[in-house]
Amino acid sequence: MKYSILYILLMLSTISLLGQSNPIFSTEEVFEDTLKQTDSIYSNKTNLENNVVQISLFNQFIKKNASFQKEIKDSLATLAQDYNNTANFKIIFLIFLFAFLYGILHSLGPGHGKVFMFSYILTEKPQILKAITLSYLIALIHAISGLIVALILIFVLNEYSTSLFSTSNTQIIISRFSYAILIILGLYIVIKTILKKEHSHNINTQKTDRIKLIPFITSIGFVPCPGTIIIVTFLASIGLLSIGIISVIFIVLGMGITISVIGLTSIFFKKLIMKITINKQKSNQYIYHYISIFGAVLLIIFGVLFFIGTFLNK
Amino acid sequence: MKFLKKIIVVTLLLFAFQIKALAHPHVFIKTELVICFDKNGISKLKVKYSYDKMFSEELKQYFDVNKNNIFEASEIENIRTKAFSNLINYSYFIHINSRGNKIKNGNVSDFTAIITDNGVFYSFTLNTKIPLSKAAKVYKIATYDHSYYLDVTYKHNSIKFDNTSNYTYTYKIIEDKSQAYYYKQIYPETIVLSIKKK
Repeated sequence: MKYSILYILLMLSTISLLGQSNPIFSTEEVFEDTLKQTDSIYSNKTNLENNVVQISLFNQFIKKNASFQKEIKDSLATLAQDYNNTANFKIIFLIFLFAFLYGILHSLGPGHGKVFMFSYILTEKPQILKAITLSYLIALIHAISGLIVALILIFVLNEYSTSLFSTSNTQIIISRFSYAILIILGLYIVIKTILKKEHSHNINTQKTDRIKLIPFITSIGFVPCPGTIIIVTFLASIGLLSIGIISVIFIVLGMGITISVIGLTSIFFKKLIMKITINKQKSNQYIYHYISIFGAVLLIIFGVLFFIGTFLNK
Repeated sequence: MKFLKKIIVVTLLLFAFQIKALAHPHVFIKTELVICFDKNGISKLKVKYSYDKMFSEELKQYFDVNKNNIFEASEIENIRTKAFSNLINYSYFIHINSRGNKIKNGNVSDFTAIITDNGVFYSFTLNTKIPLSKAAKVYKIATYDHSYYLDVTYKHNSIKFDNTSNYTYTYKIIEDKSQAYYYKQIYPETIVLSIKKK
């Protein structure tokens, strides 16, 4: 318990005002763009007559999602200004509804540790309620850390702009720290699972292990959510701080749905594997251990990939 | 074997959705572009960014100091310094290449920022010079923010050409896989311009 509190304090200390960098405001040193481009499309794209946008499936999803997010943010901005002119319950309801939808769509896009969520759930006993709880905890901490940053900006720095929310180095340091923790956590789970396999053959004796749960939730969730910061500071800037704070609850409810779907998919995946392998008369508990190790190895691999990515992705 | 295939498919799908725990677009820009020519080739690019409403409000809150809903010269200068000049690190979200060889953007002039009913927009000129000859060449002009903090796309039907009487050209806009960014997941909207002197 003592170590858990110390750990949370350590992670809290990394919530700086300066999560992710907005290129518009950042003040970075000039660096050379290191794009590695290859000439690949000219030969098979000969028809240059039609000036149309060609769409690929995955990109269509990403871009549609981004487009919906833009629509929702624009609607939120318009509604908030309308509310300032004619305050009524219907507008407030719509603001919260759009905040909820924003939460769902925002977390559907890149980020929010969905792949880590999937990997981690593989290492756990497949319990639906636990996966949903974990998802909402991540969403809650992610949004609350964003809210804390927004409130510091507003009340401590008297600043309604996210311009201060912009130092790349801080973001990179936080990211590296988080990924390093996930790697260590993955290694810990691998060792622990192997030891458990040797010393205990009853999977039902496994208990929730806070030593691995707390680092997981915090390393994923303690990255302040820039979406939350932008919405809260915007609403505060037009005198609707209280609505902004309540909106965070709806953002969390929305984000939790998306992350839960990932967690539940992981459970389904694990159960499916166990079901199929049992049919082949293999030992249930061995398969359980192997899947747990597989999840932990995924956690390590993704942790390493993303850790390296922080050095390459500039 | 069938089961193994399922695992591979699911794993690949997961890889497709993988990313780091940060970032996704938070600000949205629609880019408009005018490609200008002179007797030597492309002489400059006139660029206009239109911001989403929420970020536009943020810019207004921060830079429209006297709250008159107009950016005056001093306020525009403040924007240029604090909320534009850093974009040199991002190629001003305009990335040009020819057969994989990156073409550096020229310097920036004529920067201004304007408040409209639809939000804030920036406009500026990139003095990028690309000599052209009678041999047809293909140039790609992509618009994106490689950090994906901003979702930058072309506004539909907004690509224009100026002073093209000496040139023959065709173009289209594609999603360019060869310039995939942000962990190779997102394909930027790219103008593929095929052009030569008459």
